[in-house]
Amino acid sequence: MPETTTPPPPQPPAPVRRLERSRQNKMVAGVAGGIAEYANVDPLLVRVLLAVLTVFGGAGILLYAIGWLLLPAADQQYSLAESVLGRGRRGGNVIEALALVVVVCVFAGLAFHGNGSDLGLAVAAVVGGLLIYRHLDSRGVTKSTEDSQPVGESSTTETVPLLSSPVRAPADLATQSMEAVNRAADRLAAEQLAADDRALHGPWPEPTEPTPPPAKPAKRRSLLGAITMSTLIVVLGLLSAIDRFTGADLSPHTYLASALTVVGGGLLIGAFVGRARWLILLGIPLSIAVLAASLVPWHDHGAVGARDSRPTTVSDIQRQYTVNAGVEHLDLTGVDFAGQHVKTAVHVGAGKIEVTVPRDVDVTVHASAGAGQLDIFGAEDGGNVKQTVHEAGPDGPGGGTLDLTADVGLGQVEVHRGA
Amino acid sequence: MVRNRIDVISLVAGLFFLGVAALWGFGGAVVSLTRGWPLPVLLVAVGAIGLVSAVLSSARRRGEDSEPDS
Repeated sequence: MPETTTPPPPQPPAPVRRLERSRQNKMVAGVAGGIAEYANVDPLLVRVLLAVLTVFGGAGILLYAIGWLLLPAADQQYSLAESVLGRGRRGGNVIEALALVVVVCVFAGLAFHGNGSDLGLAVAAVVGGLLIYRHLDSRGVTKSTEDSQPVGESSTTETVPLLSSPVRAPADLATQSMEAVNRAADRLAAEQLAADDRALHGPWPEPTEPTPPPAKPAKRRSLLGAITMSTLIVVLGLLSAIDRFTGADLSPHTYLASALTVVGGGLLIGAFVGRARWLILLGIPLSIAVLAASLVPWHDHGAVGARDSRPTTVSDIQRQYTVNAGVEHLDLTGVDFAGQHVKTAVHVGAGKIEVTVPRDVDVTVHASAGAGQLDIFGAEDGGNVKQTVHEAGPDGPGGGTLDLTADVGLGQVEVHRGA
Repeated sequence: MVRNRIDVISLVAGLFFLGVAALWGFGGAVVSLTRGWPLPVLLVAVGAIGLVSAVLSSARRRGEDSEPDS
């Protein structure tokens, strides 16, 4: 039977508060209001927080768009992303979802391009958390219905109508759901008591008679997603074990590509057996990260972080300065180059190279950026660029020569003269 | 065995992700993203596979009974 003919099993209203887009506290799509209702704080607080995050780097808009995509509206069972990817009602608003994905990509790109590896990580954590939350949430609710309804008792009638009529007064809904929850809880408690009693006093049930499994047709959810996620975590664990204990210095490329391989493999299997389209949501940011990382050469034993190098003599200058991620600031103004010829190179994977040279030295700069910007003595260029610039300084030729190579994978190169 | 249709969306996305991982993840910076054949070839190949399987599965669906889908 094709996957799409059967609607997912009806779920009763969640017994606990659900993180959803609010209908009452709604300015744009109700994301801030929903978060506020969930956390029981003033919506204004959440809005101010989002506004502040928007001003500082645009994360607010990014988070809002992600929330819009991943949180279900108050009167809907599934989020926009889920319904577009084929869960629940067919074809949510595809245009709306696409527009939001574009917004997410643009702002994620901005966040990545700016100084935001932390920001990117935070956003990734939020997305991951939300996905897992939604996953566990829907699974937990489904499970509790199955548990609370003993086989043979057709008590589905009390929960199904609730969902088949989505527009219903919230108070009514709340009362009914509370009643349903109470009934289920009473029944569970009674069963538990009876079971305890049997366990203590017998007669013990036949060991050959396990509790019958829940009805098969209700189990439409594919295990593929859960299996893929678990495999992903195991693979990452193994990689980090290899990284730690064998002395192999694994680059971020390896981690990202392994994760992407597991996700892609899961999807590929899902094309034939089972379904886990939501893995696409995981694959998109991962492939963006892999593509971005592929622009960044990874140097073994390179530094990470901001570094200031301020040599004072020609012999102090290293042949090579290497930073994997961060800023290398090389200040050569303290060096007297007169009559000398010096050659040095700066390599940064992702970040910024800033070199300050003395006023009088004659400089030849070989600069390149995989994706980013060059600013060599005020001449700016951007994109995937390579430049060679020769500049003798305001005093013309003389005052020693410096041959400088500055390569950045993703980021900026800036070379300028000091005072 | 129940009839099992190929899910083209999962197929295309899975192949694309595997291609990106293989070419630019494990290749590191060896295979350039900005020049050469890898990106166009990957996109054309994955897109073509998607088109073919979409056409095939649609043809197969039409060949079978017209059970309402979706």
